[in-house]
Amino acid sequence: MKSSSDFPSLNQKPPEGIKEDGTPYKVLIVDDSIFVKKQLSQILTSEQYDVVDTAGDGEEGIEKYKENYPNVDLVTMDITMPKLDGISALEKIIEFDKNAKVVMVSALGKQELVKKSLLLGAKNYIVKPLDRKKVLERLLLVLKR
Amino acid sequence: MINAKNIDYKYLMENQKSINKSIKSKNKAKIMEYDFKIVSFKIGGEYYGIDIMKVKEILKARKFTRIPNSLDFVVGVLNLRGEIIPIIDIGKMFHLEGSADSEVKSIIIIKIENLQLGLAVEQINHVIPLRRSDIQPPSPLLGSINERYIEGVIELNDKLFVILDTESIFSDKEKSKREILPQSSDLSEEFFTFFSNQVEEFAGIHINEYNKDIFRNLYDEYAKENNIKELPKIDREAATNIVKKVFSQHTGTLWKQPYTDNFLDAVTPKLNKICSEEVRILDVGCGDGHEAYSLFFLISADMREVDIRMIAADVNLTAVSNATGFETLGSAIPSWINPDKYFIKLSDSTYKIKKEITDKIYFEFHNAQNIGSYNKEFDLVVARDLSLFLSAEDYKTFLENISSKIVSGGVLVIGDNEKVSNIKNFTKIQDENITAYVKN
Amino acid sequence: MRVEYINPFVDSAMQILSSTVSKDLKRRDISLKPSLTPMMGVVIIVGLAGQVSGRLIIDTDKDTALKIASAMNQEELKEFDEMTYATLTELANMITGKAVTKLHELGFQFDLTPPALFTGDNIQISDNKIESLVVPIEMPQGRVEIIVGIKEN
Repeated sequence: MKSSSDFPSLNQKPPEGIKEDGTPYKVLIVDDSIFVKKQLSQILTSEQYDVVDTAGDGEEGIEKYKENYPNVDLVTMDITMPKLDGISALEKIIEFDKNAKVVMVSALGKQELVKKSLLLGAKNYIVKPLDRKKVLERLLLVLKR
Repeated sequence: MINAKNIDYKYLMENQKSINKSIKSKNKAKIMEYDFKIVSFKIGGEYYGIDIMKVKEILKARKFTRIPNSLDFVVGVLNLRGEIIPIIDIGKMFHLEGSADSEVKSIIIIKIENLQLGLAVEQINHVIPLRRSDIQPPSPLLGSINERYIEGVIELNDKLFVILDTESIFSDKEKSKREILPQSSDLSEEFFTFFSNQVEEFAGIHINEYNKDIFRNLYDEYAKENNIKELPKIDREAATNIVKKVFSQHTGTLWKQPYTDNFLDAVTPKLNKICSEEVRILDVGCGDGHEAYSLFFLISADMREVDIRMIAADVNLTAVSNATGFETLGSAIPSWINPDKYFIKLSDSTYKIKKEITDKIYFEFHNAQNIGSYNKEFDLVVARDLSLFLSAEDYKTFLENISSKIVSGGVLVIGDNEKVSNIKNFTKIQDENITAYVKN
Repeated sequence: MRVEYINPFVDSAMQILSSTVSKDLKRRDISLKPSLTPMMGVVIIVGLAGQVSGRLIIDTDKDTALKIASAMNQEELKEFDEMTYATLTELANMITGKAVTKLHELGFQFDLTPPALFTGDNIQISDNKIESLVVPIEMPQGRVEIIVGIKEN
């Protein structure tokens, strides 16, 4: 009698959030909205990314990055936040770690903001509303580079 | 004794079916028992009803023209799809208490033989189904309305409804429409009112003290032409044609000479006194832009050294949205306008306004009732024929508000056929072609 | 309201609501309000800054608000808790953000401020100096009004 393990696996794509060594990519989510945090978490954990921490404003975002360093593979950064905005936080994080991978996630898509963040070192820019496919594609792009 | 095992289900089903049937037919009979329906309404606090079969139509909140009549209960007339309907005040007819002060909220159109009449009532309640057999004969104590006109009374939901017998009400009054409708030509003022009401309704405009004069003149002309001896009934086409004659010259097109010359003669001397570097213009009711652009070209041609800043507003969203992408046929551009200066040629015949021009004009979706929301002052305000689009009260408010938005020495231009008497803070510019005022 | 500002707000509201709440939506006639009148029960306000000042308001009733938040969370939310608030304010943020982005492309400098949400039975906002654009949108969840009032600086 053949067992299920004798049959080749069908349509089994490896989860995108897992590195080649089998460990998950670690992500820090920075956004002042718990709704967005939830949405992003759901998208990430569905592909087995590990959301190591979240922050509610730019200042906290910088703190958490430093606290978790060097175990953050990617940061998602909102722009409009209280205390310190995402662009300033981006700047500080890159200053601290020039290899940091930060992806901006915002409701605003103004060309000048996109340009500014990319110039300051952001790796990509995602405009809300969050589309699961789009988010995963972009993150993969940044992580595989 | 029923033994569960012995129950014949088939029998039960059949039995149940026939039980259902008899319930159904009982209900049907009940519904059949409602053999009469009344439209109920209120007059002077009392409830009345009319057989629905006599009711042709119910009009809500309709304006009708009040016209005095030899029969005092005929209070006015209404043009309903081309037919003139006399309006009856039942309260007056039966001298009912409290009916004099009541507001007419609806009109019930009834038809008796060939005659259509409108009953003006305070409030229509419901259509109530009832059984003829429940209608009680009127009590002799019910003094107000003569028994003859009452079919009966019925009590429903703790309310007493008096059911009127429409046939008898109007049978012994003159049934001929000719006799019910006002005849005398001494009623020319009322005839004019009826005429105006119809124009307002068909053309969707307001006739008020600010534009009444021209309508009066047009009515007199119309009456003469059509040899009016009785109520002037008009249709939508006639109304539209009349309103066309009231609109200021070149409405909806680029302005032509000599109107443009007349405009400059009246306006620029005043503007030159107050404007050195910039002239701030507000165009109220700019529509799709013909007026705004005409103004712009006109002023910029005449006052070469000044910069023009214009706000052009209209409450018609579609029209004003199209203004920024204004296109026109070459043949529609009058000779005083140099097309190359202001337009780009899209094709042999079509010209589109240059962006540098639209950049100087701020087109707005804005209601003239909200002039108060502007936080700047203007040197020139052009508001042609605005009184046709606002009620008298709103136009009055507009005039008051606009006064505070024009600088001293600035100019207000209104429609060619509009008239404002005694406008505070303004002095009329003596000009026979343009209706304009200077702010004191 | 300046004609060029209108479409960005209308289109943005329609697109965001369509992609996050329901594809089955209808826009009713756009109108102008001289000043704001009583609101329906839930009001979310996003401020506008830059070359203009003003605000965008999403006005709706409690029931509809809950249903909208539920649709956006893809699960039924039964009461007005923190997540409901966060969801609705994010909706207002996205609608305004998309409009502001479009206006920027057209050459207008707009910025937005963080949103605020108010609920109550008798909310009245009066703003005599700003004429507001009202865009009613109907969805299976209910009716919302997107109200935009802008003043040039």
